[in-house]
Amino acid sequence: MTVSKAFWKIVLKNIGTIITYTIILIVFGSLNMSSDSTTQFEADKPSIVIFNHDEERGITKGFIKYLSENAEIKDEYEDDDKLKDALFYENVVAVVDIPKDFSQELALNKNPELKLRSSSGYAAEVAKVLVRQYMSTAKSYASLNLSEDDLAKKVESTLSDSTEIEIKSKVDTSKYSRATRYFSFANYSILACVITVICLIMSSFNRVEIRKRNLVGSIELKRMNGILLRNSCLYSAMMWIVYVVLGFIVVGLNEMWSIHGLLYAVNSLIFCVCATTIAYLISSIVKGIGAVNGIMNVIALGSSFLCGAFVPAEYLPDSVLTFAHILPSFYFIDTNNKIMAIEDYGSSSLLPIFINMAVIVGFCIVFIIASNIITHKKERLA
Amino acid sequence: MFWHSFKYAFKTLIKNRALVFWTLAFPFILAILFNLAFSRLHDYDVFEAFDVAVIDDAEYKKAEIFSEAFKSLSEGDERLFNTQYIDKDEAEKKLDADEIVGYVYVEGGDAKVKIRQNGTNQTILALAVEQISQGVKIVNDVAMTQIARSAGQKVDVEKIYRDAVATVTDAEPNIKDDSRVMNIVSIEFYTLIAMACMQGAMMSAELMNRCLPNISNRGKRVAIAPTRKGVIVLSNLLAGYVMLVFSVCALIAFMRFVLGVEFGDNMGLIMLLAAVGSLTATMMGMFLSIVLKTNESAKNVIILIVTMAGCLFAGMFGVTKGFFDNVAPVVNKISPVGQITDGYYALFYYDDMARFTTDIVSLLIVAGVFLALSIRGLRRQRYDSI
Amino acid sequence: MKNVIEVKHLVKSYGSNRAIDDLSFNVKEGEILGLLGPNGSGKTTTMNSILSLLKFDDGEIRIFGKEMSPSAYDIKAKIGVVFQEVAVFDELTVYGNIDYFCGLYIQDKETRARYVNDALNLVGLKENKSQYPKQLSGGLLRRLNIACGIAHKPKLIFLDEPTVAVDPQSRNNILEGIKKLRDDGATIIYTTHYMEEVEILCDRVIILDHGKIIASGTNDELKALAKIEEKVTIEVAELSPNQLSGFDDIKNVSSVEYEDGVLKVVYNKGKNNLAEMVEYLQSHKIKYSKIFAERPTLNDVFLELTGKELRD
Repeated sequence: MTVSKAFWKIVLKNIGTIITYTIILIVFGSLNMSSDSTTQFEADKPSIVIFNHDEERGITKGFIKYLSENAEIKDEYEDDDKLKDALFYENVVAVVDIPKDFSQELALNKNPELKLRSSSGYAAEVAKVLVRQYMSTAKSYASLNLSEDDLAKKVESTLSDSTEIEIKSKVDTSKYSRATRYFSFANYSILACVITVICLIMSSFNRVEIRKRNLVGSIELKRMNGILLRNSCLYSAMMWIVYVVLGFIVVGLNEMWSIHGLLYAVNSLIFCVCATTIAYLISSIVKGIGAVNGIMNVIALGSSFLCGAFVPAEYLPDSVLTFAHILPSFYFIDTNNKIMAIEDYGSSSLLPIFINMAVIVGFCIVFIIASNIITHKKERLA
Repeated sequence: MFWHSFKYAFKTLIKNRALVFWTLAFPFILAILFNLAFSRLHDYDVFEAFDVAVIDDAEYKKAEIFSEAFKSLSEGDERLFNTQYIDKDEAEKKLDADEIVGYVYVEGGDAKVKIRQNGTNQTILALAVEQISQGVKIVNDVAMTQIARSAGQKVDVEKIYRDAVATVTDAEPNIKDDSRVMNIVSIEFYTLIAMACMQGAMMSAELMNRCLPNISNRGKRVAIAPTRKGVIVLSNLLAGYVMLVFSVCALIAFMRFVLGVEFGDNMGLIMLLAAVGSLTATMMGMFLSIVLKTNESAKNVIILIVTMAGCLFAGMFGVTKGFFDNVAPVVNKISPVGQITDGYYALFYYDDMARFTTDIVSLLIVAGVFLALSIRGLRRQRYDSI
Repeated sequence: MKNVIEVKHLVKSYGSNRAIDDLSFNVKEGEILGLLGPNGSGKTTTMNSILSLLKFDDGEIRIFGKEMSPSAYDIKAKIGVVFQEVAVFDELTVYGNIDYFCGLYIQDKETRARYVNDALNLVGLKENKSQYPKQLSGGLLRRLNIACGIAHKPKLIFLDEPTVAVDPQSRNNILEGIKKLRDDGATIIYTTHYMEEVEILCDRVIILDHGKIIASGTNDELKALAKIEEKVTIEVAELSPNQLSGFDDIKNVSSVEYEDGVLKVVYNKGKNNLAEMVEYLQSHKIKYSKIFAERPTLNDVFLELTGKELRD
C-alpha cells in the first residue's frame, strides 16, 4: 500500500492548486451574469445619462419621460472622467445632450442637433434604438407643424403602441442557465485539477519506476500501474463529488434536485473520466514536471475558450465552433446547453444528450488506446 | 565583466524552456484564444440575417404598408431576415423544430409576433415589427391630418399617403454621434500585456536566485568570485529586461497588426508603457526574490498568485475592471497590472495625457520602492545561514 | 613555509547550537589539508566562514596574510571553490559553464580560452565539451563541477566532498586531478568523510567533531595517536576454547576476537608481531589457511577518538 500512500501524499502536496481552481470555479461559476452586459443579451433597461440644456417642456419633456420609462436614468455622473469610465465599463451605455431650445426648434420643423455618446454592446444598441425611434417619430410628426405640446402628445401615443408578442415555450429555460454556466465553467477547473495532479503523480512515479525497474520484476510494475490507475480514478471521482456538491450550493437545491440536475451530474462525471484519460495521455507523452503546468494551461484554457466555457458558444464565431468539434470539452459544454433547453423528458430531447455523452466516452477510449500505444513504444525503445 | 555576465544570462534565459514558454509563448496563446473567443462579442458589423416566417394570409396582404416595409428588411445584402411566406400550420411546425426564430402575423389590423423563447434574435424581430407598426401608425396619422386639413377640397389620397410614407422614411433625426466606441474586450488584451510584463517578475526572480548564495549554489559561486555583486545582479537583470521588453513589444505588435486590437496611434507611448511596466515587474521580482525566505518553487507560486490576482482585478477574467475600481479602487492603483492596464486604456480612450502620465509615474514610483527595498537586502554580504 | 590561511578562535552558532567551537588552525602553502569529520561536524560551515559567505560570532580569519572580507576581491581572485552540491547551468554546455564561471575571474578572452581548455583536460571532459549537463552521468557532472571551480588557476582551492556518490573511475580521475593541482603549486583544503582519500591524498589532516578539532597532524602522526599498533588477522580451521584463551597471554596483545573461523588479534606495540604470531601458531599446532597484518587506518583512529564510525 506504499504506492497508494505516496499517491495521496502527492495529492495533498498539491492541495493548494486544487483549492485555487475550485475557488475560481465558485467565483466565476456563481457570478450572476445578468449584470454583465457583455454576455447577457436579455439585459435590464439600459442606463442612460441625460444632460438637458433645454427647458422641461414639449418634446424635451416627452423625450425624457420616454427614456425614463424605457431606460434607467442615471444622474450621479457629473465628473466627465467618471462618465467616460462609466461609458467604457458600460455602467452607463449612452449619454444624451439635449441642446437649448431643442423642443421649440423641433416643433418648427427645424433640425436641432442632439448629441449622443454611447458605449458598445447590446445595451448601448438598445439605448440608441430608443433615442432614434423617439427622434424619428418626432421628426415625422414635426412636418405637420403642430404645437410643442401636441407634437409631444402625438409621439407619446404612437410610441405607446407596442407589438403583441406571444411566447410559446412553457418552460423558463433561464431557470437552468445558472446551472449550465456553472457546469460549463467547471470544464476549466476539472481539466486543471485532474491533469495537474495526475500528471505530477505519474511523472514522479515514472522517475522512481526507472530506479526500481532493476529491483522489482515486471509483475510488480504492472501491479503498481494498476494501483495508480485505481487511485487516479478515485481522485477524479472525489473531485467530481466535490464539484457536484458545490454545484448544489452555488446553483441552488431546487434546480439541482431534479432530473435536470441528475443529467448535469452524469455529464460532468463522464467528463471527469475523460479528463483522467487526457491526463494519462499527457503523462505518457511528457515526463517533466515543468512541462505539465504549461501543457495543462494550454489545454484547459484553450478548450475553455474555444468550446464556450467562458464565453457562451452562441457568441463564438462559426469557424471556432467547427474546430471545437474535435475537442471533448465541446460535447461536454454542448450537452450542458442542451440540458438547459429540455422541456420534457421525451426521447427527442434526451437522445442528442446521450449521443453527446457517447461521443465523450468515445474520446476516452481513443485517449486510452493512444496512451497505451505510446507507452508501449517508449518501453520498447528503452 | 558586465557584458560577459550579460551575455551568459541572456543565453541561459533563451534556452530555459519553461521561462520562454511563460514569457513568450503563453501570452501569445492567450491572445489568440481571446481573439477567437471574443471576436464576435462586439462585432455588430457581421450581423447575420436569421430565418423568420410570415403568415401570408389575406389579412397580411391587406396591411400593405406593413408588408412592404417588412419585405424591404428581407431584401438585399444588409437584410435582417431570411423571410419565408408560409401558412400558419407550417409556421408552427417550423417554430417547434427551431427552424425559424419566430413568425409574424396580422390580426385585427395589428402585426403580432410569435416566438418560442426569449433570445437576441427574437428581440430583434419583435423590435423590428414594433418599429414598422409604429411607422405605419405615423403614416396614417400624418396622412389623416393632411386630409383633415384640406377639408372640403378634393384630395389625392394616394399622393398624400405616398408623401406621408416619404416623410416617415426620410425623417432622419439630427443625432450627432460622439461616441468613441471602444471594444470593452480591448481591456482583456491590455491586461494580457500587463500579464506578459509581469512574467518579468518571475524571470528576474529566477535571475536573482542565481546571484544569491543563500538560495542557490550558483549564487555561492558568484559570491566568492572577485566581482562586485552589484555588477552581476545588474547585468543579469538587464539581460532579463531586454528579453522581456522585446517579447512584450512583439506581443503588442502581434495584437495590433495581426489581431487588430486598438491601442491608439501613439506607438512610442505604447512602447514606453511596455518598457516601464516591464521595469516595475523586474524590480518586483528582484524584491520578492530577496525578501521571501522560501525555496524557488514557493517563490514562483507566490509571484504567480500576485500576478494573477492583479490580472483578475484589472479585468482579465470577464469581471470588469470597473467593478473592482468601484469596490476597491486602491487595488488597481497599487497593482502594477492595474496600472499598466489603466495606462493602455487611458492612452486610447482619453484625449489628455494626465491619466496616462499618472499611470507611468506611479509605475515608476512602485519600481523605485521595490528597488530601494531590494538594495537594502542586497547590501548584506554575509549570511546568517546559507 | 608560509601560512596561506590562518584561522583563530572561530566561533559560529546556529541558535543555541554551536556549529564551530573556538576553532584555530593554519594551512601551509603548497599542502593538501584534509578536513575530516562525520556529517554535521562543521566542515562545510568552517569553509563557508573562511570564504566570508557566513556571518560568524567571533574569531579572525586571514588569507594570504590579509584579513578576509566579502569585498576582499584581491584575495578572492586567488581562491577557487568546489562546492558539495553541483552548481552549474542546465542551459549551458560543458564548455559554456566553465567559460562563464572562469569569466568571473579572467577577463582576457584568449587567456580564458586556454584556461578553460586546461580545465577540460584536467578533469577529462574534453570529449564532452559541447554536451549539456543533463546528458552527463553523475560522475562526469561532478567533474564539471570541479572544473567550474578551478578553471581560473587559483592559488588556494577549497574542495567540499567532491567525490560523494561518484563512480570509481571518476573518483580516480578526480583524485589524480587534485594531485596535479597541488603539483602545479596550489594549496588545497579538502573536506571529506572518505578515509581512504585522505590517506592517499592529504599531507596533513584535521579531524573535526562537534565543531572542534579533536586531532590533527600527518597521517602517521595521527595513527600514532591510536593505541593500536597492528592488527593481525588469521583464518583458522579449528580453535578450541582453551587455545583461544591462550592468545590473550601473548606479549603486547590488547584484544582478541574470534568469529566464524576468523581470528583478529590487536597489538598495541611491537615490531615483529606477524613473525611472532606465525611462530606461536606453529608451536601450538594451530592450523591456519591465511594470515596477514594491517596497520591501523584513520577510521580506527577516528573510532577511538569519537567512539563512532566516520561514515555515519
